[in-house]
This record gives sequence, C-alpha cells and structure tokens, in this order.
Amino acid sequence: MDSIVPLKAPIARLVIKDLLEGDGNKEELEETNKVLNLTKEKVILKDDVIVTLNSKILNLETIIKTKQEQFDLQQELSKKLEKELKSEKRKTFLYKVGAGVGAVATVLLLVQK
Amino acid sequence: MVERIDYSILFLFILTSCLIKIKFLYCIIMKKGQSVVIWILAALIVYNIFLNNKIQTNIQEYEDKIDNLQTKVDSVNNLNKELDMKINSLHTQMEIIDSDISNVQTNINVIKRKTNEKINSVDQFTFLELEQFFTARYSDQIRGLDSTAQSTNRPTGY
Repeated sequence: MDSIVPLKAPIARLVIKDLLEGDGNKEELEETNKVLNLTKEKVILKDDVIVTLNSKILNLETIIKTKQEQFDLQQELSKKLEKELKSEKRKTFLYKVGAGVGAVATVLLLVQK
Repeated sequence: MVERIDYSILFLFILTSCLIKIKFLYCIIMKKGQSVVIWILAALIVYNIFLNNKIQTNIQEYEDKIDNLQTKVDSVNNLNKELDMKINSLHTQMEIIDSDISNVQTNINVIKRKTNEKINSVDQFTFLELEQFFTARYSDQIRGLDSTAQSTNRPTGY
C-alpha cells in the first residue's frame, strides 16, 4: 500500500535546501579529503627534506673535524720548521763567528811570520 | 728533503781553509797554542763541509697527510652537493603539491558558492519546480518502487 506524505511548500523548500546543502557538503568533503591526502604527501616530502638536511649536517661536521685535523697538522709542521730554522740560524751564526775568528787568526799568523 | 746551502759561509770556510793550507807547514812548527787554534778551525771547517744541512722534518709526509684529508673533505663536499640536489628536487615536488592544494581549495570555494546559490534559488521555486525537483532527484527510486508495487499486485500463480 502506497503511503503519501504531503509536504507544504515551505517545508518542501526547507527539505530541498537541506538536500542541496548535504550534496554540497559531500562534494566539499571529497575535495577536503584530496587536500588531506596532498598534505600527507607534503609531510612525507618534508620528512625526507629533514632527513637529508640531517645527513648534510653530519657531513658538515665531518668536514669541520677534518679541516681541524688539517689545521693541526699544518700547525705542527710550522712549529717544527720554525724550531729547525731557529736551530739553523744559531748554527749559521756560530759558523760565521768561527770563520771570522779563523780568518783573523790566520792573518795574524801570517803577519807574525 | 730540501737542502740549504749558505754560500756566504761556504765562501768564508773555503777562504779560511785555503789560508790554512798555505800556512799548514808553518803551523806545524808554531807554538802549541797556535796549533790548537788551527786544529780547532780545521775541525770546524770539516764539520761545516760535511755537515748534513738537510731539514730533519719530513715535510712530504705532512703534505701527504694534509692532501689525504683534503681528498676526504672534497668527497664529503661532493656528497653534500648531491644532497643539495635532492633537497631541491623535493622542494620542487612540494611546490607542485602546494599548487594542487591551492587548486583544490579553489574548487572547494566554487562548490560552496554554487551550493549557496542553489540554496538561495530554492526560495523562488514554484510548486511545479518543487515537485520536479523531487521527481528528478528520486526518479530512479520512484521507478523502482513502481515496479515493486506492480510485481506485488500481480496475481500469484499462472
């Protein structure tokens, strides 16, 4: 048995409005889900960027450490060479004095003769 | 190893040694004190001539170590360049996603606007349009209900 539910025009209008609003909300929900999925993809990409940047930080720390080692070696080499240079200068001075004394002594000996 | 020669000292010692050679015979017969001086000078000359003036520090070894470290730094720098390229690629992908999100947001706004327009237009619907709305919306269901009603009204048994 068919049953008829009569609706007055204003009520029918309200029902139609609700139905249209519901349709709109459904479409909006679908689009919002798309935004959500895209945002999830973006978050994954950002996580990738963070991981990559962390790797870069580790690499930069390695570079700093290696550069420090290089600097230490250079400094050590410079100190050793400086020490040797001082020693050589001292020797050179002594030889110069010795040579001078020798020359004077030889001249004196020659003159004495 | 780098050898260093001090030419001025060498010249002085050569000069001195020549003078000593000339006076060598004379020195033999000289007093003891003078002989001692000559022998000391001779010893100094010999020491200077045969002295190894090479630098004791192994510079090459240090340079090798420093070069090895530089190679390590270069390789890590190359790795970082690759990581930079990866980051740039990820940024490009993110920009594409941002653009997609922006498009979808525009769609949402359009949907909202159209829905509001539709809702507002309902107030101007005539009675016939109201009826047509329901008929159009539920045409499939109405047809289904009609067919069900016909099948239930049909007398059973042939």
